Amino acid sequence: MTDGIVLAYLGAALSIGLAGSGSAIGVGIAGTTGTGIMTEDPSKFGLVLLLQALPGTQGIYGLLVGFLVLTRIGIFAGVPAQLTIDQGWQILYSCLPIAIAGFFSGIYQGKTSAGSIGLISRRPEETGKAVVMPAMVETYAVLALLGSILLLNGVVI
Amino acid sequence: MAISKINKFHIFAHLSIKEQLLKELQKLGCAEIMHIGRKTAFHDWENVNDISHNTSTELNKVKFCIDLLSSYQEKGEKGLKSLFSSKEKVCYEKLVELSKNLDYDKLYQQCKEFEDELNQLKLKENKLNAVQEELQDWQELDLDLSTMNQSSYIRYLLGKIPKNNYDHFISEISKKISNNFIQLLGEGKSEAKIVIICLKKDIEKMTEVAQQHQVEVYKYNHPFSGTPGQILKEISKNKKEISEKRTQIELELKNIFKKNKEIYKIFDYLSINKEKEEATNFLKKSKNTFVIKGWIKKKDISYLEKMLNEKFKAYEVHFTEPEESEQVPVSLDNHKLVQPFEVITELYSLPNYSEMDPTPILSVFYFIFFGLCLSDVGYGAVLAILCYLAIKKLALEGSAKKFFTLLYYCGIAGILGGIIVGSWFGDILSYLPSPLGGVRYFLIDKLSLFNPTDNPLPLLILSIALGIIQVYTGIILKFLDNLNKGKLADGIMDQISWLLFLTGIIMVLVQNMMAPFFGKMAWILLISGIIILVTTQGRASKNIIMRIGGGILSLYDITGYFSDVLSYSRLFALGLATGIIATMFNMLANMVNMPYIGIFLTLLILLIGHVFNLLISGLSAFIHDARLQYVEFFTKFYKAGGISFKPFGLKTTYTKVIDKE
Repeated sequence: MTDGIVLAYLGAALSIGLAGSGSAIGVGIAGTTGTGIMTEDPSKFGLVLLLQALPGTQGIYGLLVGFLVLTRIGIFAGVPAQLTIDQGWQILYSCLPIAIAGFFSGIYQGKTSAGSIGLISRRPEETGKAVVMPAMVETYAVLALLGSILLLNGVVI
Repeated sequence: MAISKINKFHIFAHLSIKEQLLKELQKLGCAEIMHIGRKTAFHDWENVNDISHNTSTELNKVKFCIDLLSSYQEKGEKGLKSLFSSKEKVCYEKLVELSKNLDYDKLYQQCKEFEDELNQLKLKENKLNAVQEELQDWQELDLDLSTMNQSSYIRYLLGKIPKNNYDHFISEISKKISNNFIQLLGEGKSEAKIVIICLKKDIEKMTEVAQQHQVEVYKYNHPFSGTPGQILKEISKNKKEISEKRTQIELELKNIFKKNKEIYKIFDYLSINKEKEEATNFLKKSKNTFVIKGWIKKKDISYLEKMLNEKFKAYEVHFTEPEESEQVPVSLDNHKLVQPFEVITELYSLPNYSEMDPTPILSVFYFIFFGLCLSDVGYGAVLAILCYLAIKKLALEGSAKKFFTLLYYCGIAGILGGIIVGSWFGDILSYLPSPLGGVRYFLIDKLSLFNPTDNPLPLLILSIALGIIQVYTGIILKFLDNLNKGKLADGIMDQISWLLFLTGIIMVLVQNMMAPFFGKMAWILLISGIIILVTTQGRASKNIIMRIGGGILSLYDITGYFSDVLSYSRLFALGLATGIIATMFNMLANMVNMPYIGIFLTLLILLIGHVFNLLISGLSAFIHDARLQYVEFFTKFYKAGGISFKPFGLKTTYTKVIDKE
């Protein structure tokens, strides 16, 4: 094991952990509103679940980047790459976009989802629009994912 | 044409055939009846207000019966089976006959009585529960609670005292009140239960001391008499009686339900009637005739004429083109292949009657984008097969069928997308035993065009290029729309200018790869675009400086186009995500290394993982694809705000009305 690999591990850990936390908070926020709505109308369960699941994607993106890092440094193959400190930093930085944007967009997407849940409780016919609103926030998580993937792809090992 | 041509119609006939005519119109189900407005012809005719029976109330009664009874139906009739069984088919005449035979008013009374009784029982039970809970604490007490305060000489006081205060309380009492008896009934964590007996005259003093020591006095005021133990026994006996009674009522309700299955049909029959009555309100009448005004699709006119001709003798019908100022209802009418994509348009909003329907063009983009987002052969196939089965087996109709057909197409798109990026449930093919290596070689290396995990750029460029194509399409559609409305100048100033400008920028960006002549062309386009924009975009204001200023400011919109186009990079990111998550699960499953049960665990991980990924990726693909259409594409040209065409027909909830059995 070299020093660089420690940094790469940190990167993977941050992207999985932070993006996952963001999603957890977001899903939590949406879920609290959802349960409130369902006390009045339990039949909305399906829709509420759908909207609650929307902020969950950041966690998956984070896991995805973490997984890419681990594959890249050969953890799964059983032969960890000999990384220099520089390469380690590069990998760590590549993980930051999804770690940071995943964390914050997860939370805000959760808030938007909560708003959308409120919308469908009063106007069920507007489901389409209610589902698109949180997706606007997710755009930035997708872009961060893209950024992380491209950066990671640029690291020469 | 993508939006159905709609005509206005007026039917005049003698009042005596009003009911008959409405009934036939409803059965035909292709005309929307509308209100005859104030400023139109016949506005001075009378309203038709001859609704004698109260269908709404009846409908509510039947709904009440259905709600109550259906919650007591036998198990097995509920749930999956009823969800997946198609609606029962009934003919109209049968419904009429049924509604005459079934005395639903009586049924309602019966149900109402049972429901009242159930509520009473519930109330009683709640009361009993409350008493039970209160007395739980005082079980040790061996005194008749009802006689507590009836003795002429002594008084009881039941209470809970904080343990810390207990000793002080005892000493205080013995100091202040001479004749007393205090018994400790039991101790909790922080409190002690005590019963105090004192003389009647001392009770006030006693209460005061108790209050000072934070004694929580328990007052019993329930109709039961006896010691707490006796009362608790009686309560549980009562509760048993209640639950027996309830089971009896439930059994009875189940029986009623079994005997009255037709109640669903009655509900449908009444809803049909209700709709007819509501339509009646839209009619106007003179002394002997009445008039119906409404909308009908042009292609359905012949059906209406045929029906009138066959069933009635004396009537008069007129068809006219809608006037421009009128808000005409919209019904989309597309080719069978495009039709499912109307779901996406409708989710946003229907187009105005005078505008164009974006669905045909949207469908192509939606299909391609979904394919790139899902981009896995396995998931696409699963989605397509499930949806195909759903459509065939469940005999879906209307909007549900449309939606599942859309998903079916999306599944096919996913398969195609998967082939070009070489993703089959992620990388599951690489786990194939070596003799089948040829299959893998053919499926992945031969068929796939991209390998996004190793070299992401080509697919990313493809995504962006598709984005540019869609944005261009949007601008061109707006230009054509302007052209159609005879606003060629606007079209050139607002759309062609941007097309020149954007094309110029793209060409400048790629000029290094082209001949020098190409670069010169690029600059010419770019600059001519800028000139048109700067000189025309401020044309709304009168001041010349403001005009130029507005024109220059409008160049700032380029950032909008830039972010629109970049937004399409999500196609690549989402597609890649699907493949990588699938690969991740494959790898996890492969890591399981246990004898005997290992293979089951592997299969379990694969099953759960891939179902999860299919759900998440499918949902993302659906939503993000729709978002691209709404935010990036529709904003360029689309004018929404149409109201949907809702023909007057036989709308039912539980059954399907057919012509003949």
